[in-house]
Amino acid sequence: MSVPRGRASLNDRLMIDIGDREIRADVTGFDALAKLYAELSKFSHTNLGIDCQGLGWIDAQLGACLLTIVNHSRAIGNDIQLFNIASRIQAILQKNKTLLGRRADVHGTTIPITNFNKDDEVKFSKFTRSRLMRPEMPKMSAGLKSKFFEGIDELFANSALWSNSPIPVFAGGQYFPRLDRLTFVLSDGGQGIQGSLAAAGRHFGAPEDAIDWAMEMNNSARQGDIPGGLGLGILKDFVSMNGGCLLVCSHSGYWESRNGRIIKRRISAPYPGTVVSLEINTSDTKSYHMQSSINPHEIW
Amino acid sequence: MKKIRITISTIVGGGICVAASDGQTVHRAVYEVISSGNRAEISFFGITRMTTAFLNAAVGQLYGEFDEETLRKHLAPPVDFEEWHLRRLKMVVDRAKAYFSDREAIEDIFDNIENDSDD
Repeated sequence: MSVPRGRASLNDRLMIDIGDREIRADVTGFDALAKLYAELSKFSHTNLGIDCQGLGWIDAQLGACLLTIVNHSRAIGNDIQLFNIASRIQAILQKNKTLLGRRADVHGTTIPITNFNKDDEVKFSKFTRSRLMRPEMPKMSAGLKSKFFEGIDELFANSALWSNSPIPVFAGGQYFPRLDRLTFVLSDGGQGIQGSLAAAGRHFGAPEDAIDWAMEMNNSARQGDIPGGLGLGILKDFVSMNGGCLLVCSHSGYWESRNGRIIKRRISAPYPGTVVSLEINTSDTKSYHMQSSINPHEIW
Repeated sequence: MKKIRITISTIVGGGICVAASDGQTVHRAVYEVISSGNRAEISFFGITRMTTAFLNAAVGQLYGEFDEETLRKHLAPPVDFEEWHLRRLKMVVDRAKAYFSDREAIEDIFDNIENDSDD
């Protein structure tokens, strides 16, 4: 995505106001992103500008969501540029590769927004290992790291299997050392959890209820000869123990678990796909061990 | 009955076992050993990453193809494992047993839950 240099000519573009002053990884932020997508979706084969005049903050990791939204709009022939973006927002979105333009990440706190095709499981796995296994996370126990990667791998596997997306999966994150927080977002641009479950013959009246069902440990859209997956359930249990946050926005449904408290909401317009956002408490000093050893002679 | 070792990382070509398609390749190897009347000994040597999606494809679906007694006879205890390999394998196997042994009942339960939520 590009930001025009110098004074931009707006004459040949339809401008869409981004509206909100802040876009954070919460229900209000995803509502704003979904509304932006709704506005862009009204047009095809049109030169569009997103006016960021009033925008004072965006969580950097949400660059993955911006790219999902923009790529969907580009897929129907629109040309999109950002206008009037604050310099510090432009800087962080260039550092994490959401926006074009070279900008060094001196402190190494960004996890660059990267695109993955659905058969890029191994590439994704290497990406998460190289980007998240970092010295800035000394307070993460080995058990905690293992649990984290287990969930992340499952998450991508589920996105690849479920989403049926016409555009790539975008993933990236941001590390906040002073807050002891690591965030990671994966946005698949697909048919949404409710759509995936409907395709598998499981129908829910409300999209947030479909997410809620998918968050249970043994529930999945996968069917047929291969029993289902466990990604979202593992992550939910993990953040609950870790003191972090897990949120899922899938089309019009929003689900969040923060400090063990779960909320479900309906947002005002559909987000184009499913986004899972993790906020990991890196000051967690607890160790996560198995409850009991498993006897290899009693597996089968 | 011969015991035939199946080293997952050799089949997959490395220690990252995260793709269901790689799991399918492992499944074919295990299936062949069982079908030929031999005993498969699955080795987890060198595996650094492993998803349940991979394991579902590699071994979970065996429970839809063979009964449990046959599998216990033709699958040797796994070898070269770390504790987390075994924990994940056990989770997948237990779920597969539940799913394939009583698929109809599980679907009935699900339908009842859905009906309840509509009330």
